[in-house]
Amino acid sequence: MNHQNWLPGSVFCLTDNPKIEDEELVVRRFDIGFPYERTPRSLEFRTRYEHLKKQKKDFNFEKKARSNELEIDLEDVKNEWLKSAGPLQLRKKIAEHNRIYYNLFGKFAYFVPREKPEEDTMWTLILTYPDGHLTKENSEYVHWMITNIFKNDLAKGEQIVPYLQPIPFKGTGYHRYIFILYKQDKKLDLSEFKLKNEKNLGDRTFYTFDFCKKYQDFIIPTGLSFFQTKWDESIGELLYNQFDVKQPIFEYDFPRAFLKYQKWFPKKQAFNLYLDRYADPKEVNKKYLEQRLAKTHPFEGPEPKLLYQNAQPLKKEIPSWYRTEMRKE
Amino acid sequence: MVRPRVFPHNKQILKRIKNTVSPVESEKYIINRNPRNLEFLRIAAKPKGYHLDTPFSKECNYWHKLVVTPSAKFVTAQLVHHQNGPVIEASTKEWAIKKQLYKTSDLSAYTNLAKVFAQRCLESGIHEMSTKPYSGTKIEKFMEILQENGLNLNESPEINSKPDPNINRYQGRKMTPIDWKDIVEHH
Repeated sequence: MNHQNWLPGSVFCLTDNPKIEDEELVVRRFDIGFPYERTPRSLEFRTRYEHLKKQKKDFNFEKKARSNELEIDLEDVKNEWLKSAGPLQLRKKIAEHNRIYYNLFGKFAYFVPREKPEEDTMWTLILTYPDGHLTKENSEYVHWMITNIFKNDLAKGEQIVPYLQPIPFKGTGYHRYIFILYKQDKKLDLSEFKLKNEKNLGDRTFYTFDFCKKYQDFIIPTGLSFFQTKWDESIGELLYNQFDVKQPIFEYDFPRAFLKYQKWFPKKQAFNLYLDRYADPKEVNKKYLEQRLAKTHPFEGPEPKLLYQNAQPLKKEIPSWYRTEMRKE
Repeated sequence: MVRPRVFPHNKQILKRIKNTVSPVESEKYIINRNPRNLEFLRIAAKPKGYHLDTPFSKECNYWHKLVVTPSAKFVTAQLVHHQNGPVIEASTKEWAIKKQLYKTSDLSAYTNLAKVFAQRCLESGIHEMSTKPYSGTKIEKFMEILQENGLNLNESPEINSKPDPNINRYQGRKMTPIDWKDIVEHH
């Protein structure tokens, strides 16, 4: 309860519904992927129990475990894990942790990536980049799109958008690149997503939500895979060669200090520190950098620091604020 | 009069506070929607708790923390995020791991669980996590194997954070105790 509301005259009663800013908590989210097919528990239990019983009787196995030489086959663990339900929900947790479903599909949809056996169907593979769109806020760039992939042959699929390497810009940090595999019911014609101009990055603007909505009846998302990357030197070259653009360099926009309105005659404030607070931080940094550079020799490096810095006597004629500045250096 | 539900109440002050955070119009900007970006860059704030609680710099000061829960029969290892809860889990309850173990709570279970957990963490892209102080042969072996497999059990500190006010600034300096006798005798 917000205590600020508890003022004389303000009415607080049960009909005052608290505003829920996070609608996700209230609205149910829908699974748009495949449903879970589960083998009956009784069958499962029987086979597993038999297996464990055998193991317990094995003398050598017990000896290995006792002497800590037992080694699990990690690949086997992974395959088994991927088959059962709980771990796939786990993968959903990791995807939620990176907010993939929210950014790609919106508030109401998610899917649990499941591995389906090889069937005679066709697949679509899309590589999207949801962070770091240069002009529009909620859209993504599509880096690769192949439709009508039959079985495992990527080469025979219809490549609609040619592959472009990841381009996280300098200074922006880590970006997610997400692969989604869709299962198609029939052959699709996605030529509307073809790039008109390969040299224009804006042409690659893509909305997964709209794409899914349009082809709702023919497409189900099945596979998910993602990674995070940072800037690399090769991106600068790529942007220059392919897009004829100088690479942009970004800086994190830290929140600026919240200051009172500047007064003409502030009381009890040191004038040099007060003015520095309201000055442009870049100007202040420039000033200090110039002072520092004035003392560094271009070949011999900076001047050596004094051993006992605070013990150097400064003349009393110099004003106190200037003396502290000199001591800081 | 019902005051607005936002603090501070004054609209002008609110507007000016919002201006300190919103991007400047004249400059070009990108919004990176990746929620883990700031944590990877170490710019995000770690939860600090109440400063009069000691030791406040230890309990809740993490982005990802490792939690190992041993029960009578099983062991579970979880990677917990301060906001999103458990993100990566591995436990000997899972059939995938259980079927290859003789006993689900002995030393070999811990060692193998460590390998599986390390693999899952690295595959998800997280390699740093904070841990509570631990003791016991099994857990020590667990942590040893995690470190062998490439996980860092100390999270890097935030950049631009304020200095910890609970640090004893005089630690390390030689302070001779005052002997009142000398002072009194002089006079």
